[in-house]
Amino acid sequence: MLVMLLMSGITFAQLSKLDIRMNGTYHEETLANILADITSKTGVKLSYSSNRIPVDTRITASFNDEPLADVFGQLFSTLPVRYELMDDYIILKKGRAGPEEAYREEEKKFTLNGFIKDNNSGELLIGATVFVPELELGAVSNNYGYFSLTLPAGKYTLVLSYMGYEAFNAIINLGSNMKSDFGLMPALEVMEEVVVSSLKTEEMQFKKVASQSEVLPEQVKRLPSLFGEADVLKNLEMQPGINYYGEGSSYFHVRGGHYDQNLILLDEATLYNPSHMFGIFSPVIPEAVKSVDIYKAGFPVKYGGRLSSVIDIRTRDGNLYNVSGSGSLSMISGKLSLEGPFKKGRSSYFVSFRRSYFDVLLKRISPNLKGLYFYDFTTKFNIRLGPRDRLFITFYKGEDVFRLTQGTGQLTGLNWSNTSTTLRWNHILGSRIFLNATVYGSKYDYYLHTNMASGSYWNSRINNLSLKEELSWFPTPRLSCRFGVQLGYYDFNPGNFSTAENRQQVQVSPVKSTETALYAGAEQEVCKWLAVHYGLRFSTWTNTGKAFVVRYDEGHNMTEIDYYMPNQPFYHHSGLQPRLSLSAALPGAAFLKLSYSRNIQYINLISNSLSPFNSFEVWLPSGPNIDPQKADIFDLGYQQSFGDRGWNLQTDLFWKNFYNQIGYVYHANMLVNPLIEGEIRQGDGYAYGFEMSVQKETEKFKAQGAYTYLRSFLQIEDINGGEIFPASQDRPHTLNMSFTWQARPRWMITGSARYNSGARITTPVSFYYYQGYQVPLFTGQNNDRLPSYSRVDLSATLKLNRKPEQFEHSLTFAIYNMFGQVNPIFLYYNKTLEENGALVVPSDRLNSRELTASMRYTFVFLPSVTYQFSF
Amino acid sequence: MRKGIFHIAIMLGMLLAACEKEIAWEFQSEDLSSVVVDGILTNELRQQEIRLSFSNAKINQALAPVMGAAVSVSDGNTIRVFSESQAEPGLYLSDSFQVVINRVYFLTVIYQADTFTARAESLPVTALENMLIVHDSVQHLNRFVFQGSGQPAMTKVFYDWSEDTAYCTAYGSGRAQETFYVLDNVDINEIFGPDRELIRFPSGTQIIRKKYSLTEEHQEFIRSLLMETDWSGGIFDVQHGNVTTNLSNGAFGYFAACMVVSDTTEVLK
Repeated sequence: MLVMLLMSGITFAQLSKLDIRMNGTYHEETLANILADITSKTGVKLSYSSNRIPVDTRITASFNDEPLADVFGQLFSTLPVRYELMDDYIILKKGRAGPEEAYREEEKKFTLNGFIKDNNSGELLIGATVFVPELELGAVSNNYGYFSLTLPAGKYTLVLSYMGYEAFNAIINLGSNMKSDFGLMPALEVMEEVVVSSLKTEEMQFKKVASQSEVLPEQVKRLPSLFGEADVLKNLEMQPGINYYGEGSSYFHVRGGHYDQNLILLDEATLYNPSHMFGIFSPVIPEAVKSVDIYKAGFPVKYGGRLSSVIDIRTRDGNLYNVSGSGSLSMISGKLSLEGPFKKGRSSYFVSFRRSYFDVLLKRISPNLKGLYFYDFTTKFNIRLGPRDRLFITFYKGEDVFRLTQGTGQLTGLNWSNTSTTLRWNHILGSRIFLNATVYGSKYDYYLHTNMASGSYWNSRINNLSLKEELSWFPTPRLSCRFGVQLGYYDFNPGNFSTAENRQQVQVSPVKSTETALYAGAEQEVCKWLAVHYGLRFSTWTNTGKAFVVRYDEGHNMTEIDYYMPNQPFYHHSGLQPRLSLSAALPGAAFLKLSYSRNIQYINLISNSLSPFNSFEVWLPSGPNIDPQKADIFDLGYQQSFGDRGWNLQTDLFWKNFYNQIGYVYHANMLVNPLIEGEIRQGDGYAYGFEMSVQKETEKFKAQGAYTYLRSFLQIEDINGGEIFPASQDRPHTLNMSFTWQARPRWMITGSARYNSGARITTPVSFYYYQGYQVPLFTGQNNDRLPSYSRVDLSATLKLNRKPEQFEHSLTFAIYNMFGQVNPIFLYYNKTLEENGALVVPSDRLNSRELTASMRYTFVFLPSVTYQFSF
Repeated sequence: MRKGIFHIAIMLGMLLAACEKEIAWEFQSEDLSSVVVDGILTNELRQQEIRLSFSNAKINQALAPVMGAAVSVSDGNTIRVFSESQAEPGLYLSDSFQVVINRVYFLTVIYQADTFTARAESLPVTALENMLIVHDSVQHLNRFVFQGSGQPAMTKVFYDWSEDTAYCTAYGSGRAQETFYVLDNVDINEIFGPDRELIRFPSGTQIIRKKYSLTEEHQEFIRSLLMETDWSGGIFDVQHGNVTTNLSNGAFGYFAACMVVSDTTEVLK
């Protein structure tokens, strides 16, 4: 608390430079000398160029215990000089100030801008609110922690708040443009769950678009997880409207969309396959994450390229003031994170590394196993180049490696990796203009090595390099505008088998593509009770050679192959994506939200697999044979906070129209098939539903529950006879609940429960015999449903320190699926039960075996222990 | 490529060793009573067979024969009429004849008011591969290891251990047959397919191998058949759908004409 008060005092001191009082008598003194005297007497640093302001002007003036604001007012009343506050400096500029304007001082507006950050670490805070109760105006810090607020001159109270942080009040005397950073103190441990959202700052929530939510990394760390591996992406299942494809899967569906329709961004770079161990784990660990924003509708204009959701993950900047770290040892992996300043307050680093170690055990069981592990490496550098400039560099690499020596001595294996790099430059162009320029690249590479010695492998790859420039302009507190341009280059290898002898031989044509997007949007508070987000995104997509394109007739039969030279364009598409979101504040801290978005998706994950496990991913761009996927998304939301009682309610009704959705002919051949695009069919679909979530927070207890009703349907040529059918993600009912309870000062208990309708599956309605096989017959696509899914997890964390210390450590005991619920991921009907209890596919075609239905399931009652530490 | 992938698949299967158990599942049964044609004509000089049956509403129901159908096969010059077997309803037998290489055969089945037709072509077949039999010294039984590669083909392996009465009792039959395939495609669910029943046999078993030629269309049929049978049930299952057919008018099954090479081996004691 003392530290907090001290830090608050420092911040307040920055705001009060113009209140510092001084004495001085000057007779025919040059302005330069007077300014030097002001600095020596007050300690205030003045910055100016002698060429731009009349420093040789001689002035006669006398000040007796007068604030600097008045001193400057007198000095510059007849001079073309104006001043601005910028961090520790008062910057003097050539300006319009004159006697008339001085009299109008009260009517003038000035801009307060800066960054909001964690007071302990300097970490920039995204989505923090700055609220001015006197005017009932405010601003929300953007994705870079920056805010800008233009107000009439005057003295105001600023209320700053952010989830998990203590609210902070500051008094400002706004008499000029000011740039000032604000620091917020993290809430004390026990109070951490309490979202400090009292006061009127809650009303700022109405500025957010519909269906926007957040995941708190701290909360993810606490909730029970599989094998004790806290997982940011897997935690998304606690959000309404989000369903994982199945147990142990990293594929998820958002509001009835396909799993390739989710844009997962790690510091703006795309993660194409966020999975380890075929999807059992995701590569995003909470220790590396600062914030996760989820958009399911009302997409801000800066996002594009996917239909159903944006998961915007921002990594930690690194502690600007102190070296700190954290780590953990679970049953599966060990991880360590380290952060600290290069130069205190100016530059910092963050590094985290995780590696699994179950291969150590498995190698003993299987000597032929030469490698089986995954790792993640995340690093970020945060450099403050000056008061107006910041540079961020992020690098991420995650890889899964599997090596096996066969009996012949031949080394084979699998590995896939995600790599992303982001170079981001933030520049404050003026008090009301913020520039973000980002260069980022991503790569997803999948190898199936059939003989590592001879270099034989199957490879599928997608990589991109993109540039994004975005200007944010804050003309008034009630209006902020955004203009951006995005240029991207993509390189696709949709899966080719290669040997040392035929390295250049291509079975499926690689494609190179360029994407351009221009966008403009605004967030406007039309009046006190109505906020509007609106914008337009224009995107283009072009495919270029060197490539060959297989052409098909209307019956999807190959007609010819066209060859294209390097850089020769052969496909182009462009489209407009309007975005609109309305937010109306109703009496009693309630909000009504309405949104519409059109999204276009140019890249597609091609797979007809039913498996929740991912493998052999092939990405293909839209092109002559694949039209871009499109969606119109409507959302009507209602939110209400019952502040005094700690309840929050959020409901959403949504409707989505899908166009050019991808399906596959039955038994499509997807691996090393030059005619792979001929296996694709396209059609339309729709999804609709209802979401409701409730949160309750008290000092020691936080609980939330969410219910989703969802239906999703498709109509695709050649599938289900061209008739409408339910999509596999059509799951009417989903119920999530979780709680966090600080039971004792050292004990925290958390739990979660989930129920959802089973995934849609296709089951036979009849059987026939052929050559000793019992062959299933189907009459409808996705006519059936797997049994419902349910799971209850529980964990308890014991803090091992008896009192607060620099080195803190804890033990977490967790049980995943504590009631041992069997949740099927597959249903089979082609196996026979052997005497030893094994379920196998019969081989004998003379002596027919009785077939039985069977199901495959995973993860029943998995206890785990995790040791965590931080320093 | 296949062999390397196969070994990886075994390891992956271990890694993702999810549990599997029997479940009482209520299928949404429909009595479609679709006509199913099961006929492979070969170049073996014998009575050629075509079996006609109805689809069943429920799994494991006994085969329901189609009786009283008129079945004939034409090669453009000769029409051969198939007569229904008295001993085995639903089995239609021709007079003795053999198919000729590179010739097209047309099937016509007339059942009540419906007519079902199909077309098949016989292509050359390549020689049988070397045979590999692995002996398990613990169980004192043998196992056939398929060595197929090269041209697409179907190989049926017949085992006859009927003289070993003890093993007949243990196995429940004196004969068994399994079918192996070489197809042009590589499929994920073939690579990551489910565990299969292992047919083991005692020494002294007589093994007859028959290798059948496949047309491209026949291959496609077999691929879809395997996707719904032998390859289904793994961890990378694909979307299900009806097995293709070359029969017209809503019938299922397949009519084929194949060239066959065969050999007979006795496993030494």
